[in-house]
Amino acid sequence: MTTTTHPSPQVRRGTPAPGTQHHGVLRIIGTTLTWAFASFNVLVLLFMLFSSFKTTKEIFRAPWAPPSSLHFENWSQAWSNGGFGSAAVNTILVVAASSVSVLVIAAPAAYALSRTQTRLAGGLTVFFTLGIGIPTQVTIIPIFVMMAKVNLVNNLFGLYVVYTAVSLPFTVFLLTGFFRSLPGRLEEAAAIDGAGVVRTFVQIMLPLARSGLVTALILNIIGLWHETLIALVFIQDQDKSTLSLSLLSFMSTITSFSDNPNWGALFAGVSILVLPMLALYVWLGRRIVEGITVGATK
Amino acid sequence: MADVVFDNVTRIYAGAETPAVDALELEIADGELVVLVGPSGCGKSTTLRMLAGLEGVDGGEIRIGSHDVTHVRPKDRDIAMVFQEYALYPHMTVEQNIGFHLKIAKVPRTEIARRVTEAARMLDLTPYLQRKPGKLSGGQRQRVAMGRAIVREPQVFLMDEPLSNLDAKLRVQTRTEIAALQRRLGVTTVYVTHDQVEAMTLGDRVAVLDHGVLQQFDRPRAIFDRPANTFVAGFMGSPPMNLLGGRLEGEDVRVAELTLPTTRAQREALTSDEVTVGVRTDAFVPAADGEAALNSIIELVEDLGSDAYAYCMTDLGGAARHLAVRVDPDEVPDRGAKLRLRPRPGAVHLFDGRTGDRLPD
Amino acid sequence: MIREAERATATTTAGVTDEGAVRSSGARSTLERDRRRLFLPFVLPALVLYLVFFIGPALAAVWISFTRWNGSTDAEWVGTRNYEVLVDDPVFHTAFVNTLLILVVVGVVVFVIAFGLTMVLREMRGRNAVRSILFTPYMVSAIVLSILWGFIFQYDGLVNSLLEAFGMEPVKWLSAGNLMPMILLGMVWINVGLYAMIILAAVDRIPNQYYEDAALAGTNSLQRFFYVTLPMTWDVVAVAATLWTINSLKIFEFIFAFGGTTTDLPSTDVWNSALFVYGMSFGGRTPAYAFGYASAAAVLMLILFAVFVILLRRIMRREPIEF
Ligand SMILES: Nc1ncnc2c1ncn2[C@@H]1O[C@H](COP(=O)(O)OP(=O)(O)OP(=O)(O)O)[C@@H](O)[C@H]1O
Ligand SMILES: [Mg+2]
Repeated sequence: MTTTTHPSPQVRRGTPAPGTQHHGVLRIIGTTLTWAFASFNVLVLLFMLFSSFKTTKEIFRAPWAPPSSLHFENWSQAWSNGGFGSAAVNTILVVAASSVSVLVIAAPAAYALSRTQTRLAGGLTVFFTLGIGIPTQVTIIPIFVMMAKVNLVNNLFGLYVVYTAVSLPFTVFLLTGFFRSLPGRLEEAAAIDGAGVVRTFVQIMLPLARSGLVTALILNIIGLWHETLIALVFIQDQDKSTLSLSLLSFMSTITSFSDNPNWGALFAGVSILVLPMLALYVWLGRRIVEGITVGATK
Repeated sequence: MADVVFDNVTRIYAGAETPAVDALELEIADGELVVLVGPSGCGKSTTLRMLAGLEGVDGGEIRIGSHDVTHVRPKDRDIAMVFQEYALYPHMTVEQNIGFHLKIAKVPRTEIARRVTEAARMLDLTPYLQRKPGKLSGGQRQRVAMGRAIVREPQVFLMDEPLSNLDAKLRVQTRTEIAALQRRLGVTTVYVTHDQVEAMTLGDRVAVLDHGVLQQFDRPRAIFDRPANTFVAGFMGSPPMNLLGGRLEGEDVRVAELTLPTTRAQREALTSDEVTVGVRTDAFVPAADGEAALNSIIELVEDLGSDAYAYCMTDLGGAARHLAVRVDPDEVPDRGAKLRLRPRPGAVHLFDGRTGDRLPD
Repeated sequence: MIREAERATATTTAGVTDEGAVRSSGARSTLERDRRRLFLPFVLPALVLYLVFFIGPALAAVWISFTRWNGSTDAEWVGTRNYEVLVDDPVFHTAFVNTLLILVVVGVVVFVIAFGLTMVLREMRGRNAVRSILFTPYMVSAIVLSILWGFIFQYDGLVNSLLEAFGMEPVKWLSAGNLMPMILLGMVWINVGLYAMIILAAVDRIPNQYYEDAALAGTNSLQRFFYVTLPMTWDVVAVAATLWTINSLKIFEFIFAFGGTTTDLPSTDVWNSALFVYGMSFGGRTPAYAFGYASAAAVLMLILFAVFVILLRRIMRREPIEF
């Protein structure tokens, strides 16, 4: 009989079950690669941030080192010369307006679609979902021509309208699923209390759906913040450009028009585009991930 | 076939202060059906899972058929387990589910087919072999889970609350079937439940656990007749035994007006003058006039047809206490009726008031 | 004995469902009627917007694809000319092949890695931190990722600086021949997180008892994957595969910024479908404004992908599983 020692009370790691502890070669390789992958992501973002404070020379001389001194002028150059300042204002305005507007339009539709069990409602739900599969490249030419007819090209209001419209199918899809998951009992209770459909929707269902609405809002903000193709086609003037466009044009300026490109300023510009979304992720990461995965796994 | 031994087995979960199972000593004989019972969180599942090898062992040793299996992988322990939720693979047919373990163990296909057919016949599952579990009733699923365990022809069956997902009626029937099957196969079985009726009816022996500590391990009758401590007395039986606080005065225990005699051995075993008196619901008799009695008022009557229980409020010398009393089902007293009760002589259990341990008879 | 009791339960359940069916097809409650009356007002704004910005334009694109049109002059009907030219256009061929390369190669690699990650992450310490980090590319603009990717593999970039530090020869990662593979690799990098996250969410919902039973059966980790993980996440994998197909057709920014700017387009060697459409319409220093031709390419790719999605869904369809 083997002698067994009674574990002292300060033992905090329970003995693992037999057979689970074998560290197969595959497992070690897998874990190592996973950590390498994760580190790569972190390093790349750190590199971006470090470089935004460095001179071009330093970026190339010691790419992985933290900045030796903080060159804030990179940031001010990007902000004013690179047009990132005005672009940030434009982007925030358009993205905020569109992502809120699409909710206002999509929420009632999603509610009606999820709560009406008719063939029409079922068909329409599928019909809206189809829109997710239609890529912008197909519709952008007709939309451009149409918007040009009403003089909404090269115009931030026009961009806002288009952004609102293109976010619609996904938002309806997400919210329909969300409303469907809410219990119907509460509506019945509200009906018994004499509330009409509109009041039930506004006073009962919307507050209940708050987390779904917030998720949709965040996902649309993320998507529109990064949108480029539509902005490229619709916006020509520098003063109307969005952050994505500013970054692209700033890159072309510093790479093709100067012998001594200021990469530090470029990375400052990149950071201006990236940091708000990363902050959002740090703040609401869990909800974002859940929001994205829930649509697929439900 | 094999016996199972838990030798001073302890399990402490990561980050936990106290052991989930504490120095468990249990010797289960070959072919025996032992039921682990106890309140939620007392360590029943942990015990079973350690035996299965799904949980690590932090101290002590587990032996199956005199082999030390403490560090042996689950699949090499020659055991089969029935999970509470059955763990039937939803994408496999009943046939594939039952044969799954054999397939992984690379048993020849003809042999798998033979054993699966045999098990299906034994469990009346033959018509459902090609169905998926999603299209089976709860009882059928339970039998598929049993089938999967049977075909392994293991040394030990492990069952973790295998009936808790069935409705009450089906549970009683399936319980009998499991008992019959186990006797027929003669395979050593460890069965976990929190239902004490299940424990008493099913087990050759019953192990009562509380807070990871074994309270009593004995035949059901013995657990009922001679509970080892106040915990077992209060846990087993439905309604459970009434436990009343008393005090040793001279050679007698005094509970309100009542005086109950003690033996010398009992008095010597006491750690203080506090004594807990246990009286089963059916051990009360009406007291004659002038006789010392517990004065009770009926607050609620539960009439089950063949049994009836009165729940009374009793005055225990200033302190009010609830008592459960079995009454004649043909003459059920009314709510508010006054009863004068005394325990039948010899039907009283005495426990140490401090430690809760049973005093020697 | 058991059989009887079961039959009893079965009939009661059947009774309940029957009753439910009667209730929903029978007299409608006032709530239901009100809801129907308000259905249209609730849905209409969204529907109008959707018709004007999706269905209308998509149908218009089909019509435009049969014309020669620069957007300002009148469109000229040319029948299937645009499609005939497309079939012989080497630039379109490249774009077509690249689009499929992205769909298939990146798709397969992303899903294999995503599944690998789920197997590793299931039992890894620090898994939550790793999960969050792997997802970060989703939060970063594809343009930025593309710029960073380019910077990493530039001749005087990060990777070569590391190689030199270890005394190795620098590699021309971004030479013309390597460009597309580097783009594919970059796409794997930026997409793995999202799909791993989707699949992980599904894996997390598999009750642990299946893995325990599999351990009792003596499965190795590959068998556990094929007998437990994969079949029990199959629905989600099918949805994720559809999502990838749709998203892969939309990819634009990463390639565009990988050598292109607001004014210049990247080399046609790396174009995909979206870049082709943009390049033939609005893109470049002197835009081509070949709306008919660009629309033909867009419509053709959309049809191809729609067929692919339908096939994919049919192939991947399984009986839905209930735990
Ligand atoms: N994986 C775990 N990690 C930490 N603590 C655990 C774990 N599993 C169980 N415990 C703790 O160990 C104790 C015993 O748990 P166990 O599951 O054995 O109880 P049980 O008797 O089976 O209860 P129940 O009747 O509710 O199933 C409990 O206090 C529980 O909280
Ligand atoms: Mg348990």
